[in-house]
This record gives sequence, structure tokens and C-alpha cells, in this order.
Amino acid sequence: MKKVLKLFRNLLLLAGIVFLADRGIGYGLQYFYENERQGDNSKTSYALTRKVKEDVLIFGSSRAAHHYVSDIIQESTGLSCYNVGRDGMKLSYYYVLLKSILSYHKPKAIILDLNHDDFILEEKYRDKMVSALLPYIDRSKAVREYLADEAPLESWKARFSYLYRYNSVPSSLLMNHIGMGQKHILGYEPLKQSKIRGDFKVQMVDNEEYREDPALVREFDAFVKAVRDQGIELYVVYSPSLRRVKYDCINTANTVLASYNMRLFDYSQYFTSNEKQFFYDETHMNNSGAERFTKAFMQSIKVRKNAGENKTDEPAFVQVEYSVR
Amino acid sequence: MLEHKHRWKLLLFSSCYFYMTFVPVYILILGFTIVVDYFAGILIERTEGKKRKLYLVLSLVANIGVLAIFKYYNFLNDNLTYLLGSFGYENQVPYLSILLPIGLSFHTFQAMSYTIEVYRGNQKAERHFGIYSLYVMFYPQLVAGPIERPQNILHQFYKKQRFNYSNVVSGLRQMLWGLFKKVVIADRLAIYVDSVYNNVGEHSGMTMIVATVCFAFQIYCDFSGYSDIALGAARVMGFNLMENFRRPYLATSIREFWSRWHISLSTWFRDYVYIPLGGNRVSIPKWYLNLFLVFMISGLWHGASWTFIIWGALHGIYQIFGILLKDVNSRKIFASSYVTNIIHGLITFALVCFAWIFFRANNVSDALLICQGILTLKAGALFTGGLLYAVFWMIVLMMIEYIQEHYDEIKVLANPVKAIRYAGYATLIALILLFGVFNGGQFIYFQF
Repeated sequence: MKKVLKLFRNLLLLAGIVFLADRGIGYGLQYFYENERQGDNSKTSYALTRKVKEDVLIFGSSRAAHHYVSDIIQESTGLSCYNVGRDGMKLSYYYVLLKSILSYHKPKAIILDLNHDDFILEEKYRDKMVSALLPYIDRSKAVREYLADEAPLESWKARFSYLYRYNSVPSSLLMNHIGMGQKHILGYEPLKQSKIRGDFKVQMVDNEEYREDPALVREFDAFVKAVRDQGIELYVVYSPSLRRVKYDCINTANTVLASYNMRLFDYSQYFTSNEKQFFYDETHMNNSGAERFTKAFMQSIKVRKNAGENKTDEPAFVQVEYSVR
Repeated sequence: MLEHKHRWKLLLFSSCYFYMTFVPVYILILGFTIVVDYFAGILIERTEGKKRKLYLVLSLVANIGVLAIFKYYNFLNDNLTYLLGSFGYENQVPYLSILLPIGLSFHTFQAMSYTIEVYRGNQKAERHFGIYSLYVMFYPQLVAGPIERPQNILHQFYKKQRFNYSNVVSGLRQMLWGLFKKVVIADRLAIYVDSVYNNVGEHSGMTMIVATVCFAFQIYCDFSGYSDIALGAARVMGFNLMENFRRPYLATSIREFWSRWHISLSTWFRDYVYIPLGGNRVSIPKWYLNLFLVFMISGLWHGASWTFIIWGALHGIYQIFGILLKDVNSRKIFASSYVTNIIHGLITFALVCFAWIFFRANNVSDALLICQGILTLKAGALFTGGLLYAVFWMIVLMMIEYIQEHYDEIKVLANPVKAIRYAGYATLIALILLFGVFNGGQFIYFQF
């Protein structure tokens, strides 16, 4: 019996040491994680640690992050701008970010960039989103709700262990702190040059397996509604791509937007296959493409002139005639 | 806390429950082989002469028959279809749509070793049906070994166990180390290996080399990690299972590699196949043939696929070349020294890695594509997704194993100083939480 008690005593001691290490190192990691200046995490931290104060926000995945030049939007509109787009994310992530930001800040305009498959959720994307949001479980109610619904076990583990929240991040944390991470300018992540080599022809991808998830369509609806309810201008855009797909989210998105008297800004065919020099790869524009597209997009909407004046009931941008080239 | 006479019931119940969490109905297959071998053991012991041999053969046929039906039937049928098709005939033999029972090869081999040992007179037939069932089903080693011998484990079920503090602590320590190897190293490496081996056409020769080295460490950490957890769990309960791995990548020859890798299986094949075939006490060509056959069967044991057979055959060929080169070595052309040991170690590792290509590849044509890519150093950039962690943990593991091999006195987890010991435990747990991959990845050897 003495030996059994000794075992329990020692296990308790070990649990105590592990608990202290978990909390101690966990807090340290939290500090460094939330103070990154580069990389995707820095943008998520910016949004989820109540730092956003900009007038114009850009939401979306990697295409949003690489396609909207915040500086150009600032110059064109006279409004401050930040791009919170993040690689490998989907609608659920944008919506969590939106709810978190709206809980402490009301921007004037939001640009939401859609992907052709934004209404489909693959397991790998769900895992990526859960990993990206796990470190903020204590920071945002929207994050807590999302994790409790989508990954209750992960949510429980992250509450139990602070270290677990930062599972697999130490290398990117190190890279971002020593200046080797993905650089961004107000959230915009420029891509250099092009990976497309030789003759390139745009081909139609026959994605017969395309099946939309009604829950994600509802989430899109909720995103639009949340923005509109707050009186914020919303621009839902399908930015340029060299990948043509047989089935995509455009029709469904337009149906949802129509119920709010809105429509999708479809720039998907803005560039032709002869203009591959504007693309880093099939679906992402490089810096030249992004600059050209952002300018074109801004020209297609009339910029509010008196941003600094006390006319908050006016829209940030006033939509004008838009035509596909 | 439980009375000794009831202990086997709890262990057997736990083992049944554990096995039934995978595919419940397959416990009937296990039940069938248990009943057959239990009675075969008693009958072998009771009878003499030809009858005795007959009971052994019946038992082996029953066990191998189960393996043949559940593991090899569709494979043989596939090959028959191919063979008949090449002569213009159609195969009429139907396919079976069955799932392979988990750990089938392991418990079947353990059951066979029982009847063989009873036949050889090395083990008394077990009269207690519950204890015999427990011998086959003991849950720590039921699905992925080590493949125990009855002489080592059966008597332990009768031994009255008392709470042994040092056994419990060392068992838990071994389980922790096994868990670390599995979730931090093996599952981390699996991410890189899977992304390369599942898209072989898209990667460069250098990427394929790196992925193959990663797989060598993945499978080692996956399987030895499981073995550590099994041995540790058994030791916590007071049972000693046989060692299954002894730092195999520090081997300086293929022969030595097999004395360190999956020891319970390699000794099984040595005792029950290689020696009965005549071992090395036959003519030299027959000896080589024996070696080749044993390793080919060992490949087939792993899986019903040509990739595993080629993997086994390659190791058979390595063994034969090893014997041929031993003569060259004995003439002191390569004098033994620290440097030559390193060179031999690297050559051995390279040969083992080459064979792993066939073990891991999804099919033979993928394996050949990888071989071609590696040998021609197919152009392209090195795929680096997740490689940083993979390389880091491989280096850490090799450093730890080198220290364990050469500096036995340096211990962290078993250090006499309590503070160092506990710091070691806490660090390992923290590393598991911070770097572990918790995606529910199965142990590779469960499929065998």
C-alpha cells in the first residue's frame, strides 16, 4: 500500500510539473505568437486580438491575401485598409473572423473574395481552420463557438493544455520572428514572378464531383446579413483566375446576394490565357497582376471623397457600372 | 486488488473487449484458432508417433488456412486472373469481400509457436482454456506483437503478481517513450512520406531519396513505438515480454540488422522455418536457397502483395551477398576500424532503405518509378513541406540511440537523480503536446 501511495504521490508531482511547464511555456508561446510581424498567424492575431481599426477590410483565402493591394485601396479611397485573407481558409474562417472583428470594431466597407469551391468543405480545410483558430480559444467568443461546434475534442484539448494550442507552430514562429516568414504589407502578400512555364492554355476543368454544402451556403448568407445589418458596405468579388471550372459557387452566391439586392463582382475572366505574366500560378496573381486588378477594381467603383467627414450614413464606396473586359 | 485466481478473467475480458473494438465479429476467427490449438496441444502431448505429427499438421493447417482465406485468398485470385488472362482464359473463382482481421498474422504465428513447442516437447500442453486463450489474446501484444513464445509468457499468467513499484515506473516510462516515438516522430514523418509516395510522378529524385529515408525512420518509430507501449503496458501489470527492437539502424551488416529489427519475428522464422529447412547445415546452394526462401516468406507474411514479396526477396539477396562478402572481409581487405564501421553502417542503411521503397510503395510500378527517379536523380526541386521537423527529429533520435548504444551510463529518464528524471518526463510530455501529430494515425503493423 505504501508503494501504491508513493506512485500516486509521484504521479501527482509529475502532473504538477507538467501543468506548470504547460502554462509557463504556453504563455511564452502566446506572447510570441500574438506578436509576430510576418506570416499568416500575424494577420489572424491582428484580427482576433482586437487590433483591427481600419475602414476597409478584405476577407478571403490565399487569393484574397495575394490579390488585393491594401496600399492601392488606401490611395484610391483615402480610407485605411487591411487584408485579413489567409492561405488555405474557407468561409467558416472568414465568418469567425468577421464576428470577432464586429464585436469590437465597425469598418466602413468589406471586400469578400470568393473561391470557386468556397461552398464545399473538405476535411483538410476544416483541420487547417481548426489549427489556425485553436490558439485564440481564450481570445474570442466566435472562435470558442466555432471550435465547440466543429471540433469539440480539439477544443477540449486546447482548454486542457496551453501547449497543445501551439502544436506544430514553433518552426513558423521562429521563422516569422527572425524575418524569414511570408512578408505582408497591411495584410497584402505580394507574389513575385511566375511559376507558369512554356505554352499555357486555359483549360476547362470538368469538376463533376462539385457538390455544395447547404450549411456553407447558409454561412455565406449569415456573413452577408451580418455585414448588411451593421450598415457596412459589402463587395463580394470573384477575383481573376486562369483556372476555368465547369461548376463553381457563382450562381449560388448570386442567388444569395440577390435577396439583398446585391450581385457578385465576377472578375474571374478578367485576364486571358495570353496574360499569364500576371499570374504566379493558375489561381494566384503575382504582384503585377494584383496591382493591375486592384486598380481596375477600384476604378469600377466610385470612391467616396469625403472619407474623413462626418457622413457615416453614406456608403464607403458607391458602386458604378462594372463591365467585364 | 483483484484476487489472483480471478486475474486471468479480467485480462481475458479486457483483451476480448480490446480486439472487438476493431471488427467485433472477427473474434470468432480468433476463437476458432484458439479452440483448435488448445485441443491440438493436449492431443499432441497425449499421443505418440505419427498421430502426434498429424495433430500438429492439423493445427498448422487450421492456422495457415485462416491466414490463407483472410489474407491471401484475393491476392492469389488476382494472380490467377492475371495468369489465366494471359492465356486467354477467364477466371471463374469468385472474390471475397472481406476485411483483413487486425493483427491476424501476429496472433496466428503466436498460436503456431505454441503447438510447435508442445510437439517439440519444450512446452507442456496448457490445460486451462482461459489461460491458453489469454496466451493468444493478451491485449498488449495481440495486434502487433511481439510474437511471444509459450515458454516465456504462459507461466507468467500463473505467477502471483504483487504491486512492484519499479516495474510500474519503468513500464510507464517505456510507454511514454513509445508514445513520443509514435506521435512526434513517426506520425510527423508520415505526413512527408505520404505526400511523396502517394504522388510519385510529381517529385524529384532527391525528394524521393529524402522520403525513403524518412520512411525508414517512420516505420521504425511507428513499430518500435508500438512495441515500447506494449512492453511497457505489460510490465506495469507485472509481465515481461520479449524485446523486439535494439537500435536497428546502428547495425553494420544486414545480418546484424535482422538481429536488431523485429526480433520476435526474425527468431520465429529462424526457429520454425529456417532451421527445419536445414539452416546452414546443408550444401551451400541449399543454404542460400533456404535464406532466400525464408526472407521471401517473411515478406509475404507482412502483406499479400508483390511489393512485400520483393522486399523480402531483396533482404534474402542481401543476406546471401553478406555471406559471400564475409569471405572478402575475413581476408582483412577492409580492416575493422571506427571509420569502416561507419562505412558499413551507411551501406547497410542504404540497402535497408532501398528495400523499404518496395515495402512502402502503393504498388510495384510506383516502386519502380521511385527507383528510377532515385537512380537517375530525376530533376526538380526538393519538396520541403514539413521536412524541417522530420529531419530534426530523425537527428535527435539517432543521437539518443547512439548514446544508448555506446554510453549506457548516460540516462535521463532513468537517472538516479530525481530532478533530472522528472525534468526528462516533463520535457517528453511537453514535446508530445507541442509536436505530436494527433490525427488518429493507425500503427502501420496493425494491418499485418
